[in-house]
Amino acid sequence: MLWTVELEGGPQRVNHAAVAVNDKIYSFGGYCTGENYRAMRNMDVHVLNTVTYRWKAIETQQSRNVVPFQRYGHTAVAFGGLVYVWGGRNDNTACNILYCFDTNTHRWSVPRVDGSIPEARDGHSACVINDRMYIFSGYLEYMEAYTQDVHTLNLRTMSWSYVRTTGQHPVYRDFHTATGVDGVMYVWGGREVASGTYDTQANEEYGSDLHALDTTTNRWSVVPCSGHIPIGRRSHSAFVFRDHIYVFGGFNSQAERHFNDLHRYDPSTNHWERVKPLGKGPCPRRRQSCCLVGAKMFLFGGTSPKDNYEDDTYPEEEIFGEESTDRRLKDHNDLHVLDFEPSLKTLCLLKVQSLKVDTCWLPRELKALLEVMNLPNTITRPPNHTG
Amino acid sequence: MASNVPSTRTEGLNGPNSMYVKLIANDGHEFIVKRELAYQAKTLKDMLESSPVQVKEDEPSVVHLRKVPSNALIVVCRFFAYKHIYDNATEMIPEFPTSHEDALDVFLASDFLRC
Repeated sequence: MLWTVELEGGPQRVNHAAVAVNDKIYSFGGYCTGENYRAMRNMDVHVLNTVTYRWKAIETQQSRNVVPFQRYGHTAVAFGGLVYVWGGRNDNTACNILYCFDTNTHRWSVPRVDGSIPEARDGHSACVINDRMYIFSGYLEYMEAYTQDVHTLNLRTMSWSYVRTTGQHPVYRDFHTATGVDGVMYVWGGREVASGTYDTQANEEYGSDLHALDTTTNRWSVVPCSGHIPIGRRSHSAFVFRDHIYVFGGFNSQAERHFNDLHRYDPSTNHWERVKPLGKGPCPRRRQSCCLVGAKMFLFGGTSPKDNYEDDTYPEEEIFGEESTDRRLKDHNDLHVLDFEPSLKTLCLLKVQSLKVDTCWLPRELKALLEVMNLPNTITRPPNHTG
Repeated sequence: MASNVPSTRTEGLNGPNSMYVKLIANDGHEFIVKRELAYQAKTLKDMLESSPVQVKEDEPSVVHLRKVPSNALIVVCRFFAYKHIYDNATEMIPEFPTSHEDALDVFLASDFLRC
């Protein structure tokens, strides 16, 4: 397991939503400090070619009524060649309209849905289990409160339903992750707010319990875990590789810590392990995206404390406010690749790259491979760009 | 994966299902490796499994690699063992050693062998 590629110059995005479809990764919307999130403008879509590591912006000529407005804290799930984007907010409002992006035609649509449509929210989770998209928790725009509800959208019939659950329900939270393995939705981390309403940062908690919703019985339980259980956090990423759930990075406001650690959970043994790949991984961060293609995980974007975090000029009392914390954050435009099974060819590429040996007599395809591993992307837009 | 060698494998080098196979570099050096490990290179798997003439039961499974020099092939064989041991490890993974001089030869060999 090895961090192989690190390239700057991709989409500078935070709290974006991304999915892999075949060997492409599609990233939807997200926040970037300095951009205007009050105006209603079309959500941007970026696509990554995971072979050449090139990002491209997908332009749409479609009208506002079928394209979601630019937002953050939304979710995206892939189902066949279609991507369903739901929830999230801009600086004015949240949204509960279901949007569908067709990765073959690059066109948006608003599918007709029925049933009990969940309320507009952000910071929820979404995952697909047995042809259903499960939405859990998040912060409700109109209620100004958290929810603990589970809703599902049947992706065959496009019908929403409220899930009546039993068992030990996880407390209110946002910016957690939910991951489906073998019909079970595993919920981990997030900002827990036991009262269900946000007062101050003091009443948020970061539990490290793993919650499981069995989607055949709709019963919640707390999984009795062993091993190296990660410290609780929010705005981390979770992904599945070979029936293990991996958790990367995130932020714990009580500990004032950003993370860049990697853990994995084995649902067959309920055991957590700390995973230490070789190579240079990403710096500590939160609100990034992690997508798996084959045996490689592609991590991009997110946000970290600025280097001068300790000695900048903000007054002491502002340090614990969420708003002021945000002003001390640097938004990333980088891409990192974690290769679970690096081939000898990949190891040689890295070796040849680090040795800077003369490669003039290498075949053209191999030279091209070396080049794309080092060539930064060029699509990061300057701040204050509102296009 | 390769940890459980199928019981259908026969001892030694002979036959299409032998436990071991022989890889011969373009300078004549011979390397004997477990068939399961050699299959980690897709080109070797294709050559060993879909050769137009099947190896007879009393003949050895041999691959002549006319494009691969022995200084690269030995690194390839070490990589088979490294991959077999560490692909499922989560920590304490040592770096795979490749020397400066052989880097480009091994690179070309890995591209050809698809490993």
